[in-house]
Amino acid sequence: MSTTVLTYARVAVSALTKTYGARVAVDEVDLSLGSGIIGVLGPNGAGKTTLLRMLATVLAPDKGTISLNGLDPRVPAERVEIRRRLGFLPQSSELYPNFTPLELVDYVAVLKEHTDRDWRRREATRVLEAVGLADRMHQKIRTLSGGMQQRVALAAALLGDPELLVLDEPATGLDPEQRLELRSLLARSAGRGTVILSTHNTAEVAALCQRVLVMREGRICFTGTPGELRDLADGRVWESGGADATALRSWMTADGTFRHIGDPPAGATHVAATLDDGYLLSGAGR
Amino acid sequence: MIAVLTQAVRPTARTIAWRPVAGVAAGLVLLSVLLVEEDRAQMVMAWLGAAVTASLLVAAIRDRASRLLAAVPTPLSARRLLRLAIVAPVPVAVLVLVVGLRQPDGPLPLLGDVTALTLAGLGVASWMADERGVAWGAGLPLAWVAGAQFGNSSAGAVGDALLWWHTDSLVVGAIAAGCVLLGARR
Repeated sequence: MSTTVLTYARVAVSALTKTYGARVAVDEVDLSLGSGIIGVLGPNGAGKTTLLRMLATVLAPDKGTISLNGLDPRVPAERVEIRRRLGFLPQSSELYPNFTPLELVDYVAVLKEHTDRDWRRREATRVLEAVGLADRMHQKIRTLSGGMQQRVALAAALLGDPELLVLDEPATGLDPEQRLELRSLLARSAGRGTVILSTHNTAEVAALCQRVLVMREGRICFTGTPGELRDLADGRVWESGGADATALRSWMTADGTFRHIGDPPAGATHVAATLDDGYLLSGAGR
Repeated sequence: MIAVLTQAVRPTARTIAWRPVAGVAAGLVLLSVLLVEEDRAQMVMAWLGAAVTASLLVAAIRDRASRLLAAVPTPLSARRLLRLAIVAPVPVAVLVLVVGLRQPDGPLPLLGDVTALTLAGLGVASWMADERGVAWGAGLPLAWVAGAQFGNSSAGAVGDALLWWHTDSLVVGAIAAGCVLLGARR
């Protein structure tokens, strides 16, 4: 076993490519990430899940290289070492319905090579308490709601305070209060290393992430802070009483006015840009 | 790794779907009782038993939480081997007791057939991505034996190939074992 000790995780990706048949899911992606929380935004089919699965060493790329904590997942021994320091929450995961959350997390801890039973029990209890399941940890998983099951899976990913946490849409199925709890939890985890999460929710990114990546059609089309993403739309958002054919996108808001993004016509009534506006413009060129 | 797998035996046993195992065992016992007097039926029983047992063993490596466990350091191959080691004794013992001991040549050729078919299924499962591979791998023993049963009158290489798991089980088993090992290292 390697004795390398790192205080924070680093992720370096070069020309990463993955194809499924004729479809290029991830296309020549380059990345360099330090510690903190990184949000990956993008529409369905943009390649977020494929990218995250490659970062979690679950899927091998067709081309390109990944370095996680300075280790190469193509080398079997280094892949195992990465996995000892990694927590992964897949987009959707079946659990064992006849297990309790405590039994499931304990089982995952065994497979994460934690063989000290007392430590395992304490750690399983700690992560289940952290995700708000202290009072449900002895209940069968089949009796838990979808949101609670999602939190059981999240607890399994958090075992052992991993240096690198890869979470594919962790807030799916969570109610607003649980989302708030998730934010605090991830903010605490980010103190130890790198958290990479994919989401469709720009509010989540704004509240949580130090850095945001936007993916479209397998490529990273924006990387920067949430503020920089919002700034993309500065001066490019306006409102009017009806649809505007010159806008890149228009939609009717709750008060009946139309909001537009794109290159505003002369005399347009500009309004403050939001992260959503920046996100929508991120793939459209400037 | 030994310590990890030892501690994983009990929870892994709880993750396995035991109803199909019990169903196959009960089915084999029932069929052996119903067909006890028929010579032709003994051969059909042996083939059917080998196919169903092999298919069951390959299917047993399916782990419903495989996505959640995809990035744990204990390799998939070790987790599958453990599941196989936990499941295999029951159906194999039933097969030997209710079918194998009644065969004119004893249970060893039948065990060879089961081993070859199981390894062939595992070979497919280890080379195909995700859980689809397990489904295809579990289907292979049934399809191959059905092919031998209904299509072995075909002349030439095709007819021979349909019976390889039975006539050349050692060779099939060795090649399939190689595929399993190579697939596990991917």
